[in-house]
Amino acid sequence: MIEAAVHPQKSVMITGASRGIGLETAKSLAQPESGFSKIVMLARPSRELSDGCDHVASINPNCEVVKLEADLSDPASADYVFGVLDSQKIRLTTLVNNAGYTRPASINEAEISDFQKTMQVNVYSPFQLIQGALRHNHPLTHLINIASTAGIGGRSGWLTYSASKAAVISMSEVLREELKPYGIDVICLSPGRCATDLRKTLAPDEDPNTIMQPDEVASIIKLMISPLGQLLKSQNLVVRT
Amino acid sequence: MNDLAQKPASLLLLSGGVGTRTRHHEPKQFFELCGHPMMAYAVIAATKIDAISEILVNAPKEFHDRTHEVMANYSGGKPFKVLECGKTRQDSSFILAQAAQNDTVLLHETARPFVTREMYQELLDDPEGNAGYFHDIPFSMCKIDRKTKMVLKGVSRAKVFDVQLPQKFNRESLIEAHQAAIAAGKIYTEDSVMVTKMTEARVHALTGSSRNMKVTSQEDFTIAENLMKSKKT
Repeated sequence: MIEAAVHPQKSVMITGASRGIGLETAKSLAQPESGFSKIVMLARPSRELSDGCDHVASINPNCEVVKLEADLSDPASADYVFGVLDSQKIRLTTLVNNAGYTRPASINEAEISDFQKTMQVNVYSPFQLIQGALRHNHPLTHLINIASTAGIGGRSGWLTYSASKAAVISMSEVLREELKPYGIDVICLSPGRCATDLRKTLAPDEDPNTIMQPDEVASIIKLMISPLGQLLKSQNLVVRT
Repeated sequence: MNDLAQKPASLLLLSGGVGTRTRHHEPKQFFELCGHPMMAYAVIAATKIDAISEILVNAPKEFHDRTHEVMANYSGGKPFKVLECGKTRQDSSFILAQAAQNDTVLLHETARPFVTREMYQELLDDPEGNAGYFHDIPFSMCKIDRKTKMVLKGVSRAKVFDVQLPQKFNRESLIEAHQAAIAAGKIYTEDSVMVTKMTEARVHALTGSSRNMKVTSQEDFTIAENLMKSKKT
């Protein structure tokens, strides 16, 4: 049996961790070979989050799971999150900005308030969490932003979502340069069709068994923050079936 | 790591230039270099050293607020103070040294953005109380008579070094050197020679690097940006 390579200082926070890619990423990073001693699972309060935390905690006794309930559609959440992290003396080395929101609608039907909510969850929250991590001097080494292929090419009916994910891709490009002096590797991953609840909202008639699964994306994330991932640095890594 | 490295240290940042030789109306410490104000780089590297318990930085009076803003955005929660500039570099160094809270001070200048956490740490780990970086000079030098514009003689480059920052000082020695220099009416353009000449203290010479360039002219900014964007060397 391989000895668990746990580095006491390696901690990750994953947003949108109650379901889909976020939950699978938590499961994946809890594996002993990932070397994380702490996983902060952030999502809105739900039974799924509690169950997910319990499940992830059962994977590896050397990896502590912290449940952090917050609604990232609220701009005040980031301050709250860093207050919790400070109070528990948690120092993040990896941040996975995965939480996503969409309500597909055309230009005729999209409401500005919904566009604002989409931007808050998908763009402004990651921005606030990254800025907060810097201002609170977290020793980040990896930042993973989950974008989407919908951000590379806009798709009719998905205006707000496409625009928000395009912003995540551009923001990541800037951060890759700006965070160099901190020694932080910025990874932007753009999954294509992936069997998540968000995908069900975007494509309700699609059979989820025919497309990429969240645990496959999670495996890519695990690889990207491993030493091997250093060889795969990319502007925007597209993963799709 | 030895005991010395565990002691808290103050980072003193000389940042008083008014940038008359460069491309903008703002002092050069605020010029953007790969997305950040140049002065941010010295601060970012310091945020990674736990032993640095405070950062003190000079600012020209009219740029006090801007300096404060940059420090608030980049200090990662470390305590900092923005202090006035002196009339000379020597005065500015003295002002910072007097305000420092710790016995050990690291002296740096915002015009050297290539400073790394490792450099600060190496200085803190050095067993000598005073230390600095000194780099070989890879080009030929000579003395010239300024009046006649005639070459007088060569200067042996085996004996001279480029004085680089950061440096580490025992705060007491640095203050004593400043006081002695003021009393003797001596002006120094950097502190390692001043401490050596004006006190009994010695300064340990660590090996500097050509990457740790001083960014002053417009050409320097272009070179620095390209160096930063290039792959790690």
